[in-house]
Formats: sequence, C-alpha cells, structure tokens
Amino acid sequence: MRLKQFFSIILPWLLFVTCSANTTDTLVVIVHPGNLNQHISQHQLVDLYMGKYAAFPDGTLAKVLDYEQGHPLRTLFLTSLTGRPIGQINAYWSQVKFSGKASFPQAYQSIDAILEEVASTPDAIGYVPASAVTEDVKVVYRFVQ
Amino acid sequence: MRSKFVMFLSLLWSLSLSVQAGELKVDGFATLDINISNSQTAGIRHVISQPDASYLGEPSFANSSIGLQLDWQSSSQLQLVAQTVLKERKEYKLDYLIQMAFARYTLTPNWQFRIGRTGLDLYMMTEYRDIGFAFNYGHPPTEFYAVVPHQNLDGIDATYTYPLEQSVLTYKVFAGRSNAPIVSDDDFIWDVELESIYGISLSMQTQNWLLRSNYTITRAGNTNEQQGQLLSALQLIPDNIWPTRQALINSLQIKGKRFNYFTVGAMYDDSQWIIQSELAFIDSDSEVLNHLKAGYVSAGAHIGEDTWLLTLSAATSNNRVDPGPLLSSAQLDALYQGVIRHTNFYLIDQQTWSLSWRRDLTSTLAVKIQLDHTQADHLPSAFYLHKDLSSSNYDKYFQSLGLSLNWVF
Repeated sequence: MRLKQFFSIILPWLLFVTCSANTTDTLVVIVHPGNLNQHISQHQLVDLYMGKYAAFPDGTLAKVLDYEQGHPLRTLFLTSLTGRPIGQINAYWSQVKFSGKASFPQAYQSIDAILEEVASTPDAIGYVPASAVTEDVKVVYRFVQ
Repeated sequence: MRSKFVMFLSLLWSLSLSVQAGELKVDGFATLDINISNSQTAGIRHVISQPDASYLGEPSFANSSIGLQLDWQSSSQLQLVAQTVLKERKEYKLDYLIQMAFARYTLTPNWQFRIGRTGLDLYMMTEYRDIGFAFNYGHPPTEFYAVVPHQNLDGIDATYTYPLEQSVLTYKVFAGRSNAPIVSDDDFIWDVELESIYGISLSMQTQNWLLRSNYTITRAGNTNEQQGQLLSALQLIPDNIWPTRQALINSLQIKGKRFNYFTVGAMYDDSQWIIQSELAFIDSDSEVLNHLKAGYVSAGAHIGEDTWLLTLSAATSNNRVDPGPLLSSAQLDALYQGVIRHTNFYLIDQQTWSLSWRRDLTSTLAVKIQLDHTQADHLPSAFYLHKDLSSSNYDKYFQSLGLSLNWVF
C-alpha cells in the first residue's frame, strides 16, 4: 500500500516540483515571432494537439511541440485544453498513433528546450508557463485561470 | 510479390534508422487477457483468425498481444512508420508479424498520402483493435468485428482533411490488397486474399462526436484448398442427382467473387456520457458470405477513473441452405456435409448483451472486465470454434467473462 501511495502521489508530486517551479503559472501557447498568426482558438489548439489537423489558422503546416509523456506540464496543458482526464487523452492518442493516422508531436524534456526550438523554427508551436516567456517567442493563446 | 514489397519497405526503413537514429520514436502496447466461458460446445473467441478459444473449464489467453511501433520523422512532411504485433496465431509468418510499414507524406495540411502497408480503415476500431488501452470495451463487439480478419492494406491511400469552425471533415480513398487467415474447426486454415480493394471513408469529428461512413469493394484472390477439392467432387455429380449442383459450384468458386462492405457509425463522448454505434452490411456474389447484417449500440458513462458500458450487438445473415442431393449414399452424404460446412460457414444469427468496466490505474495502464451473454440461434458459427457439437448437445445461451490488463508505453 505504501509503495502504491508512493507511485500514485509522491512520485508525480516530486516530478512536478522538480521539473519546474513555473508549472503553477498560467500556461501560454507560443509561436515564432515571425509567425503571421496573432491568435489561435481553443478549438484550433485541440485540432493541433489531438492530431486532427496540423495547421495554423492561415493554413500553413505547423510543427507541433510537446513535452514527454508523463511530464506534469503536458498533463496540465492537455487536461485544461480538452476538459478530459489524461487517461482518456492517452487512450485517444493510442487510437490515432497506433492506427498510423498521425504521429505524436515531437516531445521535449524541458521548458528551455521548447523555448529554444520555437524561437528558432518559424512553423513551430509549443506551450510554456507565462513567466517563462521571452522576447524570442510570441504568445498566441493564454489559458484563463 | 506483395510480401517482398513490404519487406523491402521494412528494410529501407531499417537502413534509414541507422542514418538518423536521433529522429526515432519508439512506442508500444501490451494486453494481457484471460477469457473464461460456460459453453461446452461453442469455443469463445473474438475474431475468426484466432486459433484458440475458451470453453467451460478451459480459459483462453488468445486475446493477449504485445506490439511495438517505430516512427521516424524524415522531414516535416515525410514520416516512416512500422508496427509489429505479436499475438497467438495458427501460423507465424513474417508477413503476419508486420502489421504496418508505410511512408506518410503530408503535401499540405489538407492533403496526406500513405504508401506501403497501412491499417485497413474499414470499421471504427479495425485499425486499433489489438490495442486494448485504446478503447473502452473489453473487446470489440464480436458480432460486428469478429467476421473480418483483415486489419491492414498493402497499397496507397489519400486523405483530405478540411477544418470547419467546430469540426474537422476527413475524406479518404484507398486502394490495395490484403491477406489474413481464417481459422476454424479441425485445423482448417485459409489465408484469405482480398485483391483489388477500393474504399472510400468519410468522417466528421467535433469535440464530442465522431460520425463516419465507409464503403469498400473488393474481390477474393484465392480459393481454399478444401473448397477446390469439393468443387472437383461436385463436378462429377450429374444434375439429375443434385439439381442445385451448379449453383453450389458457383458459390464455392470464391476466387474472383466480389465482396462489398458498407458501414455507418457514430460515437459521442463528452467525458461523462458515451454512446457508440455501428451498422454494417456485407454483400457478395457468393452465397458463402451474403447479406450479412451486423450492428451494435453501446451506452455508458465515465465515473471518475471508471468507465461503464452496456452493449447490445447482433449479426444475422440470410444464406440459402442447400437442400442437398436427391439420393443418399455414404459418399454423397459426406460430400453434402463438406459442402454445407463451407457454404454455411457464415450462416449467423445471434446477439450478445455485454457489460464492460474499465478503470484507468495510471495514465497509461487500464484494467478491464467484460461480461457477455450470448444467444446463438445457429451453431456452428463462423465466430467460434466448436467441439462435441450435435443437435442434442447445443448451447443456445452461454456467458463469457474477460479480464484484461492494458498498457501503452
């Protein structure tokens, strides 16, 4: 029972606090500063992050960036975006990925890696805590807390 | 030729990996499933390619599987994907082990093309029926999914995706061929080749709804060896002894026969309530598989980490039963039994009530239990294996219970 408690409560909490102190911030969706799109709707983000349609509102192909599976930011982002628990989201992605319809977004380990990739890739889209945003990226969506 | 093509793609894919291993993504899935049943005559299985089944006192693990998928992102527009699935089979061939091996090219956000061995986009869950974590059922409804063993397509497909304000429309056309085994009693196995497969699939997806329809036409590419022997024997019988002989010969000559599949389906899941249903109609030039109607409807709810589903599934066909020869002899009776075993293989009339429970233990691990209550108005059935079956020993009603642990990684 203690081992189960460790895996179900303590371990995720430790991951949560050690990955970044910024994860309790409002999450924002970021793109390259040169990206012509000024705003992306929640519905368009669902299409992008659930493998339905990988393009920006202006129709250009998007390179979707995400965190690795199990990362607390990924769980927070996807559950906030879809209103579904992470288990249901992973079940849905299993349908999409293992049927070969779409590949899982390119996964990164850290906020800095996402920031760096978005800042250097014109068609990239990612998400980070609001407090981590730099001048090298542009915010196109902000979650309301 | 076809398997060589798939192996060539696999080899090409493997060589590419060694060049840029850094772009490689490896994912997998595993299902550990045990099924028990109280039937003494109908061996419960969930697809007609499974060689093992559960009877009273004889549990089956045939629904267990483990798989690995490799994705290589060659560029922002080109991906190579390969998937292998290990599960219990009658025969183990490299061709069967390779579930998918294809190149996917995204020309624009709207247009996507795939070439190689892809999933067969026939029914809603056909492409991921081996991945237990991906769906809420303990197993896809038997009456609907068991009859088609084919899961992949060697060929090409083109998908056009069009976003609307609150939904995404997808149009897909595909062409190719497919092989899959049918396994039945007395070690019967037939590697069924479907050639000249052409299909169109339309779907609309909103946040909570999925609506889809599919129409696929194909032609049988081979005739089973036993069917060939029966055909040879039937050729020797005069018409005045067996008046329906010619019609039987036409039916048993499967090669070249047309098969049409039409299906519509809908799923609603708002993260609280679930409704899912599909209807299918299979039609062909052969009496062996003709006018098969199948469907299921499920309703349920997500309650915390639990998902409950109540499902009714049914299948019925109206195959004509041949009256047989006008004379009786040991040879003619044996031939008649052999013939109707094949022509009545898909003579199906049954329904099942199912209660399914799923609990997500973690975000990637789920346990599922499903209780099925089946009423079979005709046995033998293509869905099952059989033993000790006779008119006096016939399980019209039986139950089965499946317990599975489902993992993705």
